[in-house]
Order: sequence, then C-alpha cells, then structure tokens
Amino acid sequence: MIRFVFIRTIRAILTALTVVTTTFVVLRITGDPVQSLLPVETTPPEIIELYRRLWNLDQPLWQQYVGYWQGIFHGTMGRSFVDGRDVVGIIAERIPITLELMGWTFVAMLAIGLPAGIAAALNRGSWIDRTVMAAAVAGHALPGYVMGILMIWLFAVELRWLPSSGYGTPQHLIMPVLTLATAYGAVIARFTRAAVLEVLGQPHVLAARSQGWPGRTIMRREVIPNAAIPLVTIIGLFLGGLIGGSVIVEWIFAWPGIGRLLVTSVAGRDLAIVQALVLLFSATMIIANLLVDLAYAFLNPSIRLRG
Amino acid sequence: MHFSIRQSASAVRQSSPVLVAACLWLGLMVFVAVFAPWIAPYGYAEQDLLLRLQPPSFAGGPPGHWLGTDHLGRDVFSRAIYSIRISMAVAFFGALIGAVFGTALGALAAHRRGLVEEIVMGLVDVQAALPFLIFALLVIAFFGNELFLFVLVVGFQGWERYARLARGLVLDAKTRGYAAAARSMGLPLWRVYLVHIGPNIAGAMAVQFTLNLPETIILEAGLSFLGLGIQPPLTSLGLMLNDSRNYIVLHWWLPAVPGALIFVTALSMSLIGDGLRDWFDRSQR
Amino acid sequence: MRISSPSSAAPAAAGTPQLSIDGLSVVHRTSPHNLLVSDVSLQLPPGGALGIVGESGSGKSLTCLSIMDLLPGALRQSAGAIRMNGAPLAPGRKGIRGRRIAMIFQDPGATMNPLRRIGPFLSGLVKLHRGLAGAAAEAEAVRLLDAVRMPAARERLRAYPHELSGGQNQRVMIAGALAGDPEILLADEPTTALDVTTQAQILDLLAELRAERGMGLVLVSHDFGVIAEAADHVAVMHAGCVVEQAPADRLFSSPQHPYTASLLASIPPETGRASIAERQGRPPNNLPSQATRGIGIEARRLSRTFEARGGARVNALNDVNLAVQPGEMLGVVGESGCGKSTFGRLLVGLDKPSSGDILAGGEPVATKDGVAFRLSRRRLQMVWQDPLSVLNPRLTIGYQIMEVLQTHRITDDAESRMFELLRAVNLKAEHASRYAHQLSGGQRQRAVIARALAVEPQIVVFDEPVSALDLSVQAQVIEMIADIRNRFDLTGIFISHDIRVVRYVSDRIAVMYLGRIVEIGQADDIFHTPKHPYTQALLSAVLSPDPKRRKSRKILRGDPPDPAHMPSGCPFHPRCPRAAVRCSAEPPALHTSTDGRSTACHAVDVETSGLAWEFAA
Repeated sequence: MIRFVFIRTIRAILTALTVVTTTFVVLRITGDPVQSLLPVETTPPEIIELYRRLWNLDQPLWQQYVGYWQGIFHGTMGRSFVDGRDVVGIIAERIPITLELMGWTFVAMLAIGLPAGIAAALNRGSWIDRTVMAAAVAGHALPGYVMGILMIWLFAVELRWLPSSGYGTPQHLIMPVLTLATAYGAVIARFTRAAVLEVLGQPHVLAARSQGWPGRTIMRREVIPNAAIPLVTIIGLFLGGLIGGSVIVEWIFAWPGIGRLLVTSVAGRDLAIVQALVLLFSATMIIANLLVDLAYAFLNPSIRLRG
Repeated sequence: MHFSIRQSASAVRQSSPVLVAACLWLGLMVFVAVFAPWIAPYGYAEQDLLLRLQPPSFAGGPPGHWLGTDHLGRDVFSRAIYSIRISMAVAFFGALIGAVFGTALGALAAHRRGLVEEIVMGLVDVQAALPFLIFALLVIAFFGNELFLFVLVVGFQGWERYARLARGLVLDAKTRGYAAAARSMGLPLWRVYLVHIGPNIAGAMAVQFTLNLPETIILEAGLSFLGLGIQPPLTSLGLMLNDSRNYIVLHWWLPAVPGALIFVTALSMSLIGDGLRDWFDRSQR
Repeated sequence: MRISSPSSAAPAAAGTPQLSIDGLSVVHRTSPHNLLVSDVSLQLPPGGALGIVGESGSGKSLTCLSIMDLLPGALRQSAGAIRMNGAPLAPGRKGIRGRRIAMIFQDPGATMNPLRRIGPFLSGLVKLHRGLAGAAAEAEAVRLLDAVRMPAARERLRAYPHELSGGQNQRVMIAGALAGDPEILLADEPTTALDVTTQAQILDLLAELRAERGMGLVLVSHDFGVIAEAADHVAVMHAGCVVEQAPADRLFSSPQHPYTASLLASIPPETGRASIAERQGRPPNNLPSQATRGIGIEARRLSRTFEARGGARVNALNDVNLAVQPGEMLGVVGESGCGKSTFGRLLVGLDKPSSGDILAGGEPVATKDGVAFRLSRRRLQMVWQDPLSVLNPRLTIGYQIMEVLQTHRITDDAESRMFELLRAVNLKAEHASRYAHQLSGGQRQRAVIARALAVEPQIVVFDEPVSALDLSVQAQVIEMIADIRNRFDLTGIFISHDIRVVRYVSDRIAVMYLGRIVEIGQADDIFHTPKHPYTQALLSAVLSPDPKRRKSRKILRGDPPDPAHMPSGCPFHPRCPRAAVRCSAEPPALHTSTDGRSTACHAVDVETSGLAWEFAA
C-alpha cells in the first residue's frame, strides 16, 4: 500500500509538473501577448513597456519560469489582460457558484444512475433494462447544449415554470442540474449495470448461492461491494466530464461560474485568466484521480495489504 | 475472426430495426455531406432580408423555404445541408488524425517498452486527466481558431484512448500470442507488424473510431456553439444552434433543426459503434 | 458432530438412494430442442461416492448444477426430477443448499469473495446454518479449519483469499461446505486448478471427511485418475448423455461402451512405450533434406530473475546446468512456478538469461532482435501450450506455413512443401485454407507443429503442447510428436506438468523444483526408481485410472512454494519428508552417480556413500 501510494503520488506530481510547464511554454510561444492585445502601431512604446513589466515579460525566460512557479505557490497568478483585475480574485469569487452547480449535479446523477443501473442489471433483458440502456445511449448522444435549449423551450417558454437563465434562486438551479445530471446519470447507469453484471457472473456469487445465502444477503455482501470497486475508478472520469459539461451548461443558462468565465476569457483572449483556469481544472482532476487511485487501493485488499 | 461480405450481411439481418435505421440515417448524412452544393437550393450565406424569420412552409411559411429562414433571411434547409457537410468533414477527418496519431504512439510504446513507453503513457495520463473541452479551449485561446487548427484540435479528442488500446493489443499479441510466434518464426519486423499485428488490431481500432465519432461531432458543435469553433460566414450545426438562442421564444424551428440533426446523427453513430462492438466481441468469442 | 434438522431426521428407507436424478434434461431457453443434458438418470447410494466423468462439453457440470437448481440464467431444466432420500427437491432448494447438500467448485480462488476475510466467511455460514453467533461462531470456524487440516487455523481467520494458495483456498471452501454439516457434498472439478501434489492432498482430505462423517459425495471430473481415486460408482458422460455407468472397479477393468474404452486407452500407460518402439524400424520419410541434422544444446549456469510487482525479485531459474545430446528428447517436469517454461523460452532464445550461457551446437544462442536472431530461428523452434492464441486468427493455416518457408527461402516450391508438412502432422490438404478457429484443438496444435517444422529446425522445445487438449486428443498429438521427432531427427525438449506424458515421449527426464533441477536420469529409471524425495512424491501423486491400484501415497506437506520467497538451503526442505538440519542450511549440489543419474539431495548423497541418512543426519 505504501509503495502504491508513493508511486501514485509521484505520478500525480509529475503530471502536475507537465501541465504547468506546458501551459507556461504554450503561453510564451504564442508570441507577445501585449501585441495581440494592444494595437501595436497606435500604442505609445511606454505603454507597451509598462505592460511588459507588469506581466514580467521583460525578464529572461528562466526567470519568468521560476516566477511562474512562485506565483502559483503564492496564489498570485497575474492580472487580467483585459481589465487588469487580480486573476485569483476574479476566479475565487466564482468558484462557489460553480461548486454549487456541480455538487447538486453530482448528487443528482448518482441518485439517478446507481439505482437505475442496479435495477437494469438485476432485471436483465426486461423492459427496465431496455429502458435504462436506451436512455444511456440517448444520453450519450444528446449534448448538453441541445438538452439545455430543449429544457429552456419546454420549461421556460412553453410551460413558464422556470426562469430561462441566470443565478440566485433554487429555481435557477433546476434546469442546469437536470441538464447535466440526466446525461451523466444515464452513463453512470450504464457503467453500474456493466459492473453489477460482471460481478453477478463471477464464481463466488454462484458459490454463495450454493451455500444457501438469501438473495438479498448476496446482493449486499458479494455483489455491491465488488461492483463498487470499478465504479469508484470511473468517478474521476465523470468529474472530468462534469467540468467540461459545466462549461457548456453555464454558458447556456448564463450561470456566472468559472465555466462561463473560461468561455468569455477564451473569446476575449484573456490569457492570464485562461491559463489560471486551466491550472485550476488540471489540479482538480489530478487530485481527484489521485484520490480515486487511493480509494481503489484501499477498497482492494490485495493492494491494501501489499508492501 | 475474419470479415466477409456474407457475414456482414447476416449481421445486418440479425440486427435490430433501430440499427438498420441508424445505418440508413448515417448513409443519408454522408450522401448529403458529399453532394451538399447540388442539394442545397440556396447558398449558406445567401441573405434575403425581406424574408427574415419565416416559419417552415408546412407551418405557414413561404413555399421556397420549406424549413423557414433565420434572422438574416438565410434558408435554414440550405444552411443545414452545408452544416452537415462541415460537421461531418471536421468530425471524420479530425477523428482520423487522432486515430492515426494515437494508434501509432500506442504501438510505438508497446514496441519499444522502457522509457518510450513511460513517456507515452505519461502523456496519455496527462491527457486523460484534463477534460478535453478545456484542453481545446486552451489551444483555441492561445493559437486562435483558424479552420485547419480547429480540425486538428477537435481530431485529437480521444487520441489517448487509441494509444491505450493499441498499446494493450500490441503488447498482448507480442507477449503471448500470434505475434510472439511470428517473431519466433524469424519473420522480419515489418512483416510481424504489417501482416500479423496490423490486420488483427484494425477491427478493434475501427470500433473505437466509430465510438469516438459522435463525441467528435458533439465537441465540434459544442465549440462552435460557444462561438469558439467554426466562424461565420461559414456555417456549422453548433453555430446554427447558437444563432438560434435569441429566437427560441417565437421561432422554434431555428434551434429544432440543428439540435435534432446533431442528436440523431450522434445517436446513429453511437448505435452503430455499439452494434459493431457487440458483433466484434461475439466474433472474437 | 451431526445436528439433525427435522427433514433429515427421517431415516431413508432401505435401498432408497440418498440422491437420485431421474430423466434430467437441460436446454437453452432460446433453443429448447438442443439438449445440453439429455435424459440423465443417476443414483447416489447412501454414503456412497458417485463419480461423473467426461470431456469438456459433456454436460457433467450442468448435471451437477441442476442438483442445486443453480443452472445459468440462459439454461433451464426441461425434464426430470431430483430426489433426496426419495423426496423430490423443491425449486430454489431452500433449506437444502449449504445445509443438506453443499458444493465446492473448480477454481477455489475465484469462488471466494475477494473482499471478505476467511473468518467472517466461515462464521457467517455457521450462523446461517446453525444459528451460532459471536465467539461461538468463531470457535466453530476454527474447528472447521482444523477439520480440513488447515495449519495454523486461528491465524488464518484474518486472511483474505488472495493471501492463501489455491490448495488452502479449496480447504477453506470445503470447510465452508462442512459448516451446515451436509449429508451430501458435490465437488465440481475440485482439483483441476491445482498442482498434482496439492490435488493428492485434497482428494485424501475428501476421502477422510467422507469416512469421518458418512457424507455422500458426487465428484465431477474430466480426469479418470481423480475419479478412480475417489469414486466407487462411475458414470461416463458424452454429449449430454450418460453412455455408461458401473461400479468403479468394473468400469475401469472392463469398460463396456466404446467411448469409455477409447478414453481409457488414451491415458498414457504406466508400462513401456511399445507403440513408439515399434515404429523405430519404419522407413525414413523423404522430408528432411540432410541426413543427420540433430545438434545438441547446452545450458551453462543458467539463471533468470524477474522483477515481480511490488519490487520483489523472483528467481525463476537458478544456476541450471544441462546438456541435451543431438537427437535426444529430454523431458522436463515440475509443478507450476518451478521455472520449466522459463527454461524452455531461454533455450530457444525467446528470453534473455540474467546470467549464464546457452550453446546450441556449440554456438551461443541469439536473443536480441536482429539478423542473428532471425537466422537462429532456422535451428531453434518452440511449440506452445495454447495453439489458438499462437496462430494468427486472420490468416489461413496454409498462408502462415508458406510465409515461413518463403521468409527463410527453404524451398522453391513453398506450396507443395506446405502440403507435405501438413501431411507429416496428419492434417489434410483442405486444412491449408482454413483459419485457426475453424479447426479443433488437436488440429490447431498439429498446424502449429507443422509451422515449426517448416524451417527444418534442429532443436524444438515443446512447452506443455497437450495440456490444453482433451484427453482423447492428447494421446494422438503425443503419438504424433514422438513420430515426427524420429522422422525429422530432432533434438527435443518436452515440458509438462504430467510426468506420465513426459515419460512417454522422452529419453531422459529432468525434474525441476523452484528453478532448479533436482533430479535427472533415464526416463524409465526416474519413473521406476525415483531417488529424490520430490520425484518420489510427484510420482506418488500420479493417479492411476484403476481403483485397484490406489496406492498408499506419499503426500507432501504444505503447498508449492512461492518463487518470490525462496527457502534457505535446499529449496525443497520445508516440504521434504526426509529433511534434516543440514538441508535448511546448505543447498545440495547436483551429483551424478555411477548409473548416470544426477540428484540434488543430501540424503541421496549420503546413502550413495554407503551410510544411512538417518544416522548421518
């Protein structure tokens, strides 16, 4: 276990290193951001020089790299190219807004996906199974932006039940969460179904039946814990999907979180914000994947008990 | 396992009507994509400001525009035809790039092992750790979104899955299967890879390609929807959907046409991919 | 101790079988006319042992599962009744499963929940079937482990299945089966996944438990040896039907049905090699191009170390010295993990030794990809265990053979040579256009051998070439190997876990244990007068398909060890019945005695010098 944890942690650190270095390199090889922001011909040279100093562009490359790392550790990621505000501040005030959306979505997608997947596996071939599988395939092919617009049309335009976009009240939360949770809930159902079916086919379930255990005990003791292991490993994957999905959903529903910030920053080429957001998303994913690995090792006695 | 016309035909016969419908739809989309200029009655950027926001002809609109017109008076049917052409082309050629790149890297990792493998798989881990949409946005933010670059970026979506798959399959064949045997027969390396390993993993890679296509379509349309993909005056399904957002209240056909096209096309591809995978798994026993 | 549940208290009427299957048929739910089990009727007399034997796909396991109403979901019982002491069993077998009839399975590692420790597994069953809880249940769990002769029972309660060996896991499964104190035990291939010495332990345990508890036993196996060892009444199944049933001694001495007779005839005999000796005088085939082609192969101080997961180093092969003479067939025998397959791969250059040299015909064997390696393939060839994975599924058999002929420019007329090769391994010309999945297991292995022969090799390593095949096919392929070896004048190394098979084709036999050769000598000498205690145990674990020859066997203690944890001194000493203090301190060297036998054993050394080992130790 210690060895496993050590290796995984080293891997995570290496991944983080690669990501940070890549963003730094990419940021510098795209050319002088000042030139892409300010009309070079008409801007006085003093102003350009000022901007350069502001973003440390006047220093040698290695110093910029060191400074980049220092910035990450000190939580100073520079200033917005567009309005000059502190990047960390801009992002920090939007994080809780996005977390609110993602937290509810996570709960909702598990609440939809897990029971549906288990029910489908236990009633293999029945109408429940076929419905869940059809929903899973459809959910995979129905992108958030189509689903979101469909919801707006149905709930906001036709039925006038919910506000079409914005942020603030619980009513505002319903459509974005439903948009994300139905799509990913369907995929979770599909994974759950596969994991449960896999375990149901294992000899130890047959053995437990031969030993006279009632079906419910077999479910609780043999099937669920063993099926949970592969499911835990794909939660990291879902978090990634969720981050991507929330960008789209925040855009559609004018949800003022970091996803929407990312889109507007990309459109406005505010590279300071973009790179900070990419680092934030990467860090989240790396930590999530590391935690998933550790959870996997902990759930699995053959890894947990090894040196 | 080996493919033959007769087996494929029997596979189609045994398959569900849904799968047949999916194949027909995808066939239609390919046809439309190839022959778009001959099918579309109007150009995709042709405006008629006098006939703006007209409903489809079956809903009381003018007879010439049977899916209606948009806010600039452009024919929705013609724009949809050209959008299909763009989306299909971007998805197909883009996905091909990712497939070739990922497969080559994966095979290289399995062939060389050691440090090369560590580096390739490290890259795969990094890519898998980063949601691809974010990665694509990063590239677009830094390098701009010229069409060629955009196709490239969209195409790389999923390369890490090809790399993982190819590495696993090559390694498996190399360590205990037919490729180990071919090598031990003294066959030259090119023969082992091209004649023995290549055809054997091609099926699995093709299945992965089919499963990847709908995701590529969705990614392309999604980026265009955010206004960060295909740029006007060129058109794409995502762009049409984005344009329609402000007219949702009174002009339902504007979002409905591109939305339904994206959904049905991605669904068809998914169904075909799943069907292909099931059939492939069965024939592998 | 027996506890009597109300239903089992009623004594069976005299003559009523303890378990009877009447007219059982099993079908696939979607194709109800295709009978997987067809009208099977069997009886288990009270306290008896019924053996069901058959090849894969014969329906023997489905019959066994039907008793418990545990058929896979896609199958169903279409006809027949199953009765216990004359009373039909209800669907679902409530109150029967685990309590009156218990069952054990083939792969003991996979039949245990990997997330559950042994203790809760057993005490849970004790609670379920006897209502004991807490400390009482745990005490009972320990007693159950004691009952299955599990060493250090109390400590095992905290172990997970992955921490135990296959044999230990099967003991735990048996202990779990005993928890309900059942009247009947069903054992579905209980030893198939185990090594031969462990198999002998488990069969002995089952026999002892039967005697102690008066339990009925239904034993399902593909192995006539296992059935002969443990059953007193035998049913032979083929294609879903019982073709013959009889008391064990009668069935084995005078089989009535031709299928039974042919199966029994395909077991390698324990006496002589008449069929091969007869063929020595046969006129030579025109295939080999040179007159005498065989070259010798020699391993010098050969070692191979692997890095295991978790960083442990595993010595798969440890300082092995061995010379195979030109034209000789050397058998290599040992249990799983003894390093025999590693040894085989090293000999033909498919793996790189950690240290030591291999010389084929006096020249070192190339292991690195390159021209030298590719050229060496013309001399050195290998035949693997699983022919299906070794043949390219997308190329025809003929293409794969011709490809080799053309690559090495063996002949101008590759096509006719390919057909000659197919004929040499008893395949027909039409097989050339087939794909691997269109051939039977035996035909595939023949095709693999034909391809290996295409380069006209001088040395061929056969790595468990028949282990994946059904018994009746095994015999044919072994015969064919013995035949081509003579015709092609090959130097051969034949690797197997089955000492009978090895002896049948080999001139000399090397016995391996934990990466070392412990004994080597003429095949008949090894077989009839084994000197090393391990060889003796290996031979003693061979099960004879003749119940009259059930021997008083020398059963080894413990399990086959893990190569990652090598014992000090002689690697065999923890399991050796003759081990003395010296054995744990000093590894014995391989000493050759005057009769040409080499043995790595202190006891043998001492006795060779005329002393008695017990005193010297």
